[in-house]
Amino acid sequence: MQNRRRFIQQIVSATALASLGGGSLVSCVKPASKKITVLHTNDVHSQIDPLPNNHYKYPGLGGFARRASIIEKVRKENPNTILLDAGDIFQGTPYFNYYGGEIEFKLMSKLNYDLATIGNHDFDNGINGILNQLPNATFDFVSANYDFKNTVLDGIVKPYKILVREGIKIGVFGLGIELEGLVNKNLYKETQYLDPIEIAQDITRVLKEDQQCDLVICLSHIGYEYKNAKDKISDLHLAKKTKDIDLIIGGHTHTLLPKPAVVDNVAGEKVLINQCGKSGVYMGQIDFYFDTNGNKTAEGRSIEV
Amino acid sequence: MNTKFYKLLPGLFCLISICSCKQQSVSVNKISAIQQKIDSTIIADKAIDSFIAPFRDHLNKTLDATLCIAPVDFTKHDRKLESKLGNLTADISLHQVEPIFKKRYNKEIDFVLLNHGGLRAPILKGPVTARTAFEVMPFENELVVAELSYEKVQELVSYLIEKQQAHPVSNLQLSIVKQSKEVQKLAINGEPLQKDKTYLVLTTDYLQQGGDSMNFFKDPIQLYKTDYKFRNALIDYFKSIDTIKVQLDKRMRYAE
Repeated sequence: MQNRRRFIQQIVSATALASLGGGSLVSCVKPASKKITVLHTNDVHSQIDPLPNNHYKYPGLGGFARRASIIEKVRKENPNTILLDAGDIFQGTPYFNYYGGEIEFKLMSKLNYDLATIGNHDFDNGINGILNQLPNATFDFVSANYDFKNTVLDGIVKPYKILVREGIKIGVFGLGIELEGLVNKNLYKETQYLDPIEIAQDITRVLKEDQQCDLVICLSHIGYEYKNAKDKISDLHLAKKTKDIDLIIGGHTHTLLPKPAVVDNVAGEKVLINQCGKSGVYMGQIDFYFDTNGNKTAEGRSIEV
Repeated sequence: MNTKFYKLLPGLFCLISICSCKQQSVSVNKISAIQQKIDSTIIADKAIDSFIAPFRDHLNKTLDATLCIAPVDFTKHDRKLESKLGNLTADISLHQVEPIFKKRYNKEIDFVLLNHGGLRAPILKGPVTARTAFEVMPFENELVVAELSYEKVQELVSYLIEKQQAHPVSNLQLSIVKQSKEVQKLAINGEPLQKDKTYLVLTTDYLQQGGDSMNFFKDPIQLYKTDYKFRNALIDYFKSIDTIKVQLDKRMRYAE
């Protein structure tokens, strides 16, 4: 507990300065245009090309070049679009085995991804395998419950980042799954896994109260739910046990939700959870419409999903 | 402009932001969502596709030569405790490592245990290529042989009963009473488990180091390396045959 508090404090002091500089100036401008579009993928697993047409589950789906077209179309409709990935970018096709993640990061950069979190398979070439490919990425990584202090990623992967789109502050933090038993220690080395729920409770307070974010998004690679292990921490637990998260973008369990799940959080407010299968077969799109006058309607927010 | 002014700038910005926008708040009043299906009706972005093309061409040349034929689909979803893909991959591992192991250590492998989660793609009916092997086994796992005590093998069996998943096995028969979780039949190499014997179990380095919580592998009596990647074992086997023949044979099942 003590360690975790100190960890959070360090994070806050380190990022407070950065966000004071640029963020607050633009945050003054809150114009009539008030829609934020969130596009997201998860568990793309090096699926650069579409899946084969005889694939048993998702025949002919996915592919970066097609995804690029959709992203461009959405961005044309709404320039205030952010693009996120919930981890397990690496591993799954020979592109990764031959090129070590270079193609994945370069393509995600070309598609203008804003942020990603780290999945267990992103450690498959070791923690150095991530570091070595970072020069190919123009986007940042966020992970709040992996403490990288004694690793090569110290100071590089941040717990959260605040994106500002036309004055609207969007706090995005990352959560990763327990690595012990899932990834060999010689790959993740001294990365410390911290309790995702406790970390999320602290980070959301920082994002909502200290940083005054208008929207809080969790990029989660902890899994949607575990039917054979109901107590295992998952996005459903996370949603119920926290507050102030608007959207959980999930990964790890390769769950294809027909539409986002809506769950009551600890304060009785609605949280959306979405996950889009794997391999980039689907891309989630969530549109948040803002009332810039600050008037909350009596019914609260209407969720049309 | 002198440098002092620059130093004042951040402070000035803070002041402006506190004065001018502290009062203004925004709140979400509507949320809508769609799952964008990425299918063939979407026209691929030309610039992105031409970036991928040279990498794709290089890989295709290397990976798409036909090695053998799969007469049916091999997936890992046939039955609760057994799958065609699991049987195939476990049998291939044994088949490929046995001669090397015999030659190097002059010992016989008793049985094989891999993990269901480690098989990442099916082998589909049609030509089987090196690409197929990469899809089934994208990880760089190596095959290893762990020498386990009688007690550790019992732990291993308890694990299989507890998980009730189609973990790939070879040379091991297990039938489980579903309700009571009791062993109805257990045979290794056709024989019951023996107290005074140690067992040589073929698995991957990932599982041996405790992957998928297979902790019984962690401190073996002895660990034998093969320096043979699981994927390469698959590729070598595919090259050596014409048609894949492995089927379901109830090696792991519920008692009837």
